[in-house]
Amino acid sequence: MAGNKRIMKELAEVRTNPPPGCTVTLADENDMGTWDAVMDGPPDSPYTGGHYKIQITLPKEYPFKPPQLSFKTKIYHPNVSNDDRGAMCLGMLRPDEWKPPNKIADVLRLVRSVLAAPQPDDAVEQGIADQFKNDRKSFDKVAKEWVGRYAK
Amino acid sequence: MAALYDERVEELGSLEAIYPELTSDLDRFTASLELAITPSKPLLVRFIPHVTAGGGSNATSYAAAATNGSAYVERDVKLSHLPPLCLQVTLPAEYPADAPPKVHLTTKHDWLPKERLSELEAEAEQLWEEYGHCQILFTYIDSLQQAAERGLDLDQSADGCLVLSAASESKLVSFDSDTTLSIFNTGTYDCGICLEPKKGSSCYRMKRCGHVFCLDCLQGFYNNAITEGDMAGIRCLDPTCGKTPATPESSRKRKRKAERTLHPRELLAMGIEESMVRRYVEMKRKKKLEADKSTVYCPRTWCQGAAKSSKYPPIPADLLAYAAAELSSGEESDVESTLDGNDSPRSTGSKDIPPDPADRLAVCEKCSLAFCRVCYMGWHGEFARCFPRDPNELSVEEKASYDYIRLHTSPCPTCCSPTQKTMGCNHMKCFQCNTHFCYLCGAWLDGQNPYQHFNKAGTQCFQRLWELEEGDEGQNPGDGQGFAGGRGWEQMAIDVARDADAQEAAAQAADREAHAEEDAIAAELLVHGHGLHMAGHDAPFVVHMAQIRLDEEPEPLAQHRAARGARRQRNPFQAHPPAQGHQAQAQAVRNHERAAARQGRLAGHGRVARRPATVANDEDERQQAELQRFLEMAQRDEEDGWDSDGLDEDDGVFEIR
Repeated sequence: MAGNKRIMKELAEVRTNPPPGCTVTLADENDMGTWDAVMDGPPDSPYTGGHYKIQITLPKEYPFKPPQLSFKTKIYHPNVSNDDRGAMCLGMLRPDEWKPPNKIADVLRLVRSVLAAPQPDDAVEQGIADQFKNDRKSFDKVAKEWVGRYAK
Repeated sequence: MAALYDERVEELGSLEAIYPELTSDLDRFTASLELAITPSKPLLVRFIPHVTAGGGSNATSYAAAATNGSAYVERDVKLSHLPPLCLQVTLPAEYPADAPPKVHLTTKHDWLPKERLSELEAEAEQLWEEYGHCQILFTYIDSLQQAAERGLDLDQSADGCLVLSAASESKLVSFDSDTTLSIFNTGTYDCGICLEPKKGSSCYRMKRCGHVFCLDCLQGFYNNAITEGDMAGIRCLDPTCGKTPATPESSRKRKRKAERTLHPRELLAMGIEESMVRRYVEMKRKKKLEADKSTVYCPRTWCQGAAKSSKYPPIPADLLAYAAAELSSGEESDVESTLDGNDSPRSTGSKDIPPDPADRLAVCEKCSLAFCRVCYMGWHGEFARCFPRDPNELSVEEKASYDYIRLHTSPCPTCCSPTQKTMGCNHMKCFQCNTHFCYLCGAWLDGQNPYQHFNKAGTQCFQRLWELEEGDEGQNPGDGQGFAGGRGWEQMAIDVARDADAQEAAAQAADREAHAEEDAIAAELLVHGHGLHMAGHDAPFVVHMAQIRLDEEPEPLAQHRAARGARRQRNPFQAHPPAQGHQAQAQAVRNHERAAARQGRLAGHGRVARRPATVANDEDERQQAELQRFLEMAQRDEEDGWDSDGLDEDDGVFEIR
């Protein structure tokens, strides 16, 4: 299947030239369909110093269908759901907006930019978004606390 | 040998070295060379039908076009490649010292006007003079090439473009596209999907935006999308394509317009099977038909084709001939605006009645049945009065699919398209109109911030974003989650509508009682006024009708009749609006009956109408009692325990449950 060849290419590319702050491995060397990425919290954000495990699941129709992404490390962020799913609603990953030339590396770059600059108007966690907008100080404080508690 | 040394031989020899494609005959001192014409900026060519010579013939060509029945159409085409210029040179014995070279220029397909060719030919002699009678062939060829790059300066003419006869259009256009293709085929491109470099011959370049992908990937993606019915996915796959770098606000608005689906011709050019492309075109058309609320469907249950409509012409057998406008964004925005206009989905019944009786005729595009788009009966001609079909008269299949839709889908709050979630969160985006909404309660969501709906404490959907994540098919609709929620507002609306109907029925019953009395008086007056032999037959009948109504109103069935009555009030075919008085109404009824009599249907009509008034037989009584019992149960919310065996047609049950 052409998809596998592409995944291998992407993996090789990501391993030799990973997006900034990311390292990518296969969850299981025999299964190209699940990737484990570890993303460092972007500098100048409350998440700096944290390491976030993100699991990326590639559907068998990849790259025709978008990958699915979930935070395995808890993070205090308006765009990441605060449950065991750790879901993130990225526009790029919506089935109707996904375009096959997008790569996992692009997705990771986008995730990192959303970590650096949360989008409270497109939030999954409204409470966190409100805090982010209205009380940035205490938001930063909790986010930093969570880095210490979960993401070290 | 040495005596044969000739400057001409030397010149032709060096030219051969510079232009390998040059062919020369050193014995006759001739040479010929084809010069490609590839203007750096595409040349605008205007094709005019039947231009023979000069401007005078234009008038006749207009006339000719008119008599042919075809419109006089000028077509402007931009061409990047034009058929080559063929240069033939003969060097006379006196060249270069005493005679200029003889040059002869032609173009393949004879597209370049003679005048321009002779101008270019004359340049050879001018150059020869300018350079002081020396070897000028290279200089001349070079100047021709530079002119070709400037489009032979054809855009400097009075028209600003090259004007040619339409007869040469196909040749020039196909030359242009063939040349572009062969240049493309020899290139190498990195396919953004499989991430591999591919030969141009196994790639495809998108017509509109020029993005290139390999055929394997394109076929894989589009076949997949067509199979899954994702019509919006049939567009250029480049992530940046169709997105204008603007503010998020404006890009969000513009995106739908900018996102353009591909023409079937392009899919065929990619090597996608015709059956697939046909499926794409058909589904796209079907989606538009369905999105258009004015579409009516064939009443034959085994057919259910859409009625023929000039708005959506049928798909031609040859897909290449498929009208480009059909898929253009302009057409889509038209549909959108009509959709936006229909703000209240409940009002469709009255709105769809066309003002002109002839417009009620609809012809099914599948089975060619001619039917009335208002009453859904076979076509009855323009003069029959008919009324919207009662929604209770559903076939078994219709009822089954309606039941399924009711139990297993949530409606889009904007366009009412039934949606079923297969997986994911409860933030839905309508496949038809792109509205964001909540799958659980059907609430409209702000596309900018859809999730706040699930984050508001105290609301019914609080913290339920991921409920039913696995999709909805497996769940029990009775468990109070998911679908029951999704259709909840509909149930409430039905309750409200039922109450309103009951009130309306009561009001109308009282109203009609009054009308009936006046009608009877009016009829009697008319009978006396116009002479017995004309209206004598009709008048008693009107009285009967009035009595029937009086008899019926207090029955439970009144509800159903009231709905019809209400519609009748809105019917634009009504001969006179009620405000004009009851005499007129009586007249209208009589006119109608007279028309029926003329068609020989009066006997049947009369019998049916009279029956309940004279003898209400046992069957009727039993049915009415049954209905009464059901309505009572419904009031206590126990109607689920009711078995419908008692009624042969389930009349009324359907809308209430």
